[in-house]
Amino acid sequence: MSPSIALWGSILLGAGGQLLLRRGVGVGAAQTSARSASYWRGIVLSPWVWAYGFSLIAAMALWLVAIAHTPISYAYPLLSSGYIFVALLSRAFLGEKVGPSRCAAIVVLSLGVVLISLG
Amino acid sequence: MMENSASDAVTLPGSRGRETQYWIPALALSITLAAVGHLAMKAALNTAAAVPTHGVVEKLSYHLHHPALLAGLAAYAVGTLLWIFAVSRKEISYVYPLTAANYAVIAIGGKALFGETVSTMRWAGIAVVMIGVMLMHRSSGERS
Repeated sequence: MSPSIALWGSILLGAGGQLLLRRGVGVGAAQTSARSASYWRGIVLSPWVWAYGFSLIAAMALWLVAIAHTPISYAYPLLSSGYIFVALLSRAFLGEKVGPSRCAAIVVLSLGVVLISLG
Repeated sequence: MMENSASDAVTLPGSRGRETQYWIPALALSITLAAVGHLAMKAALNTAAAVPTHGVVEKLSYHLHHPALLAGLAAYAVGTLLWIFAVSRKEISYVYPLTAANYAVIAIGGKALFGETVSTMRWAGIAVVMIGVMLMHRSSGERS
């Protein structure tokens, strides 16, 4: 697998995983006190949290492949493209609103990501 | 009867015991552990690349016994538990951007620890990304 494919695969899986996590803990039993059993039950019993766990493991495996063969000062800043993916996916799947100032942030982030990948 | 002022300090009125303020230190520690973890893992993979191993199984076995890699994964694992807590308390589109500080730290770490060449365009890109992340942070005031 090429380091580039591993890198972007890791980023996309990571972004998708964050949405799975928020879907799992943003409502329900995880909203109770972390001192309570129901908080931990809410986490451990949520299929969304498990999906997040698996996507995290897969993203991490791909990340290790990527950074074995690319500089960390190149690969890690490219992780910021995750913000763009998370915002777009959270709008599409969680109904989170992306207002004008967040949209501007996404444009600026995109420019930064392009500069890093070209530089 | 006097309220216990210590418990007043940790729960906001109306928070119903949800430790609303703890997401801030949890997030800060999560970010720190993630940076430490990534640099440790890169250190491990840099040295592993130089070790001749034959085949995937031997390479994987070598990686899994490397202390820097295991330490990096452990740091990242603890950071993830703290992250899960922060995300249960705050919208993901708000929390995620606060990890921006890491980008400068890790780029500097890559240069200082591993002698990586960081071009001007890459530094510029990192700076623009950090601005973009700050804009993301400010945009969290928008209703979501």
